Amino acid sequence: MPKSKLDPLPSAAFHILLALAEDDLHGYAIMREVAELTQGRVRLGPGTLYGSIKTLLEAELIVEVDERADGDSGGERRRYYHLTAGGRKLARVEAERLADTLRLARAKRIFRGADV
Amino acid sequence: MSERAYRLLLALYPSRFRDEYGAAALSLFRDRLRAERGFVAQLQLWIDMIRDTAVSLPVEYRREPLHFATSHAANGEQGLVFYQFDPEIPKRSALINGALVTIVVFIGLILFMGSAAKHAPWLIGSHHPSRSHILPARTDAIAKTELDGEIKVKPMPFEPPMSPYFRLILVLGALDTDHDNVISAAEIDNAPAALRTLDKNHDGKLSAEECGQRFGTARASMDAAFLKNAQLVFMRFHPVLAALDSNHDGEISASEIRNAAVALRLLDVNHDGKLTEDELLPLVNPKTP
Repeated sequence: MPKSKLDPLPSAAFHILLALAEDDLHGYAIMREVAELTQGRVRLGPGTLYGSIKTLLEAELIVEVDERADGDSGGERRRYYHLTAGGRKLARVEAERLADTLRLARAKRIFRGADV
Repeated sequence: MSERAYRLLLALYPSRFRDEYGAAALSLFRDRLRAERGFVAQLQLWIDMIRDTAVSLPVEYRREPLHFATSHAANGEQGLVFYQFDPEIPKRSALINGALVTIVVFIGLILFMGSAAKHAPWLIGSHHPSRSHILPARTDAIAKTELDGEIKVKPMPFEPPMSPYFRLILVLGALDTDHDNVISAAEIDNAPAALRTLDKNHDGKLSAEECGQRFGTARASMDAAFLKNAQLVFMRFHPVLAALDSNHDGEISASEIRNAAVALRLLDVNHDGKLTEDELLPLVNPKTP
């Protein structure tokens, strides 16, 4: 899979990398984590979620780890995903890029209020 | 029911995506279905699913352009090549469902067009049961009464070709002012005025030549006696001229012009008040001199 699909990094893919930053998760857990991180603003549907996972797998930014039984769903076996070093690095680069953009926005004083 | 509906949505994805992630996507849907209870939550779930499908479906098809599976005939390169979108053979139930849906859609479409034609003016060109030859149309630019109104088209005026005899005898051509090959009662009454239009030399009377006799270039070689005789014969031969030239002197004098209406009425054999061609042609009218 050409990496051009991840340049620029799509929002869904970036959120999945962030969701996997601390723990290995299965699809539904990733979706819940993203929804929690974004306070419900981003709700990944199955098509978008697994499409993005497929792209990230092909770019070796995440890897599939062994299937495990999930206690929350009655022991159903699920595929878990793990963030690779490359994925972590890309997430950091993307976060820095967004931080730079945020600094630029602050410098341009497009925000209102003292808390930003 | 919900799971079956989502399976239909999943069936829209490319087969390779379904093979790899179909079960996981269905599992994720089940998880959300279990977790999100209540009408509003379920509604939100379906909105998410439909939006997600609409967004991700084109992405998945762009990722994997349709791989056309090829199938060659038995003799290899010389044989026919068949292409198919998906190497998988459709399930029999899918084919039956597809056929049923197609039939239902077509029946629905036919019923809709049949019933909607009465109420939906935008269906211009659709079948109308009562007035199938009229296209239903609605416009604010034209009043309804005009749409229902009847337009009468005046027939094209038909002018019969001028009779050769009327063209030959200038007197008849002058009398028949409406060129219908009939000298009507009004035209008979107007005869003096019509005849005076033929008086080219303004001598108050009409010679045989002014009435239609033609000699052409031969006239110069004719002696006066022959010419006079020819004029007499011409004026006597044609009933209308013979009637007008009541004294048979070979010309229609001023008094004869004034008396033209009375003279013409003598030719009205059937007494219908008008003169038709059968009453004017030589050797037909028994009153011909």
